[in-house]
Amino acid sequence: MLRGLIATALATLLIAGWEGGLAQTQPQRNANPAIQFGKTRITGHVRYIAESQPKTRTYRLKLFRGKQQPVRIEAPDQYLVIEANYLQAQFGYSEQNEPILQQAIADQGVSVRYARPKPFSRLDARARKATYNAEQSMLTLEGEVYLEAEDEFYKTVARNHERVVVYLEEESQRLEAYAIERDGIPRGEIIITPKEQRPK
Amino acid sequence: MQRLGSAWAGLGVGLLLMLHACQPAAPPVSPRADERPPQASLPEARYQVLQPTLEQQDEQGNTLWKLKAQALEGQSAGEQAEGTLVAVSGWLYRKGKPVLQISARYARAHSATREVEAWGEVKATSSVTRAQLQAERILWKAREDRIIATGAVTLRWGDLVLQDERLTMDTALQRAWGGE
Repeated sequence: MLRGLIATALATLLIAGWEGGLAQTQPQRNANPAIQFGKTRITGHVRYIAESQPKTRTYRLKLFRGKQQPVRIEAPDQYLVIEANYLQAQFGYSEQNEPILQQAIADQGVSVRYARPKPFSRLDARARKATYNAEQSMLTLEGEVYLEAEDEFYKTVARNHERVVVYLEEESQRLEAYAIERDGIPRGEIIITPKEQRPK
Repeated sequence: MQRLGSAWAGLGVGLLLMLHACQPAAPPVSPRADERPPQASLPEARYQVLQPTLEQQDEQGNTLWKLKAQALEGQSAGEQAEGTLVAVSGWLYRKGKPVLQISARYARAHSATREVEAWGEVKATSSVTRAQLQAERILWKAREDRIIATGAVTLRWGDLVLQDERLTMDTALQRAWGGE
């Protein structure tokens, strides 16, 4: 008992001489902070806020790019790579209890790559904003959208669109494009080129 | 032996000061110049207390932190004394409830500022989120409900892993701020 009291006394007293060293130190910042959720990985961010929602088993992040590189999220299980100046991401679990990227909102200087091996589908796009929703298998691109897409049968190039919605389901992959209008005239352009089919 | 005697005397003074520190806060009163109490002068000494358990409470009697250690090593000289807990484990509290279990090789606490600093293989687990934190060093600021972790910081929320050299979190490890 006496020992405990003495210890407490010493601790409190002593502490008077301490100046809270850590708060004043300027630790060297790791040039490569990283965030990983299952196989999904986020890099390139410098400043970020993360929040855990234990009841729903979801995790929300807001991330800002560094000077040298944009924020980059790679979700290989979902065939998706997004780069942007600002990114919001929500992680959670699928019905099979697998960790997945549930939603992402990318803003400013956005580039998106989707590359699915089977059935083959590839998409490269640039836009001001991109919103990805895994549950709906949907990617919405907004603001000066430029897009190149390809599947087994067609190559598609779309430019000058205000908004392009890409449905990524394996069985019903399709685009909806809303052209930019100037003086009431739509400026949007979509070029669809059939691919040469090799005899099987 | 003489040194040990001085140590006990120093501890006595320390105990008085400490008990004062743990009283509910009262409005500060500046003593008149002619009423100024004599300054406590501590003997030059080193102390070691084995297996101490320390805790601090706020004005309402809510526990702020509770730590036990293999040893408390301290030293005093003049008007100052300082010490370090060795092989520490314990809890950090929020609103009187234990929310973060921590362990570290060393720790110190500052009763006046309500801060706890721990370093050396720091590990912490939140009872609220089950989050796990590892770092070389943490500084917990009870008043701000913030932990500043530095040095190879890893925060795990289930499958989500945040890695950085510096990360600020709330006591329950439910929110984290990087790059601040």
